Amino acid sequence: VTVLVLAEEHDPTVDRIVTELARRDVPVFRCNLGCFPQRMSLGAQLRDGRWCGLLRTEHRDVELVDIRSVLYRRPTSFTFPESLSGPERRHATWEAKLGVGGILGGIDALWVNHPTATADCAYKPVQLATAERCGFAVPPTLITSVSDDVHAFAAEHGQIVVKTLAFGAIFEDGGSKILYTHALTADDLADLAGVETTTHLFQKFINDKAFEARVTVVGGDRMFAAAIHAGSDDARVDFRADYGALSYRVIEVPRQVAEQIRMFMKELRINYGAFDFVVDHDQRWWWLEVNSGGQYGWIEGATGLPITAAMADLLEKGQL
Amino acid sequence: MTSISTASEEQYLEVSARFPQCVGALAVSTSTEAASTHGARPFALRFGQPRLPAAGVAELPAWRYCDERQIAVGADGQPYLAKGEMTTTGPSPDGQGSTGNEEWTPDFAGDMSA
Repeated sequence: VTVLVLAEEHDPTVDRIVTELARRDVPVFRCNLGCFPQRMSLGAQLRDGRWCGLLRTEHRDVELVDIRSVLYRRPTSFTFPESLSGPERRHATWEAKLGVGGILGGIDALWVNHPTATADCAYKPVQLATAERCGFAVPPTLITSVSDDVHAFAAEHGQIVVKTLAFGAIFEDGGSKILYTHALTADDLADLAGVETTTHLFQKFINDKAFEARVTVVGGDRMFAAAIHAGSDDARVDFRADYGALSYRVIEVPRQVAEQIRMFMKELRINYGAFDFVVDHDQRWWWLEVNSGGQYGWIEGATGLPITAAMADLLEKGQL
Repeated sequence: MTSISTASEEQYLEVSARFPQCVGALAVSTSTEAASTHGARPFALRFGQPRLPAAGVAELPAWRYCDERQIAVGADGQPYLAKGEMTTTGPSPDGQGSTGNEEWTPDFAGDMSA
């Protein structure tokens, strides 16, 4: 039995897990989908309702039926020869997407996480609605392309922030800019030009923040929680804005929050998630978001929480 | 001018477009196009901050993929992780250099290479 790892070749988070699995003598087949078809091949036949065949690289191969669990962490897309024309490349990509993707996606194994579940989870509106149904306290949220909606929302809730729904950066003009969560000022609200261009997510800012909490959950039951204390104004709005000003401590997840997390993961069919919360001075946990493919090495390094070992346990066991 | 999304960027296609989900780093990490005018530019982009190397942030060290160990290693062949680079490198808290990390890309990105 083998653990299939689908990830980029440079992914320190995955390196940790692969190293731990190797230490345990657990067979691992790691590849990036970007290696298909030039450095990786796949051939399979349908037998009794299952796809049987070999996934193969120059260095190793694996029988699809021997795969016990799959770690899927942001593999890149297929890479075809430069000699292909644009239309040929599109054709080849779609054939591979539905061919390779269909066969691998149908592997009957424990997935961390299955790409379909990850795709669902990536939609913040889906996350937010699911979170509220699971009983989490969710900050009042507005998603709109209408400026008047923003004015009304700010009038009702006071300090609000704008955050992105998808990419946290934009690459333009030969450079790049980071899009942190931004607390809107009166000047910002006086000129909302551009809101109409696309959807924007606005949320009430939790002013009474004691700290933020990152809960890394492996398999639904193993929860590793750390308080993140911000030591600067920038970090208080978005901790990513100033990593140097952060301090961490290990905390316990309240029983009710733990139960809500389990319910959320079951609802969205994920077996791993990095959950972010704001905890206020009344110890109320406010939902921010979950990243179903979140990195955790930095928080493991800062706290000593044994997340890699838990991931290896889950993948080695191949069941919840 | 109306821009037309390619089929692969549509996330609610009847056929699954969800495997794989991510694009190669270069597909989204470079553009020489300039920002549009005030009013046309999406509001949230007004608050973008130029990505600058922060104090104490390490340069991404040289690496290569070791097919035998199935992990990244440094120029000396030692595991990349052993070098203690599991720290913030600017774009990534885990020491990853591409856009395939949790900070700047969503878990699901339409496959723009198709």
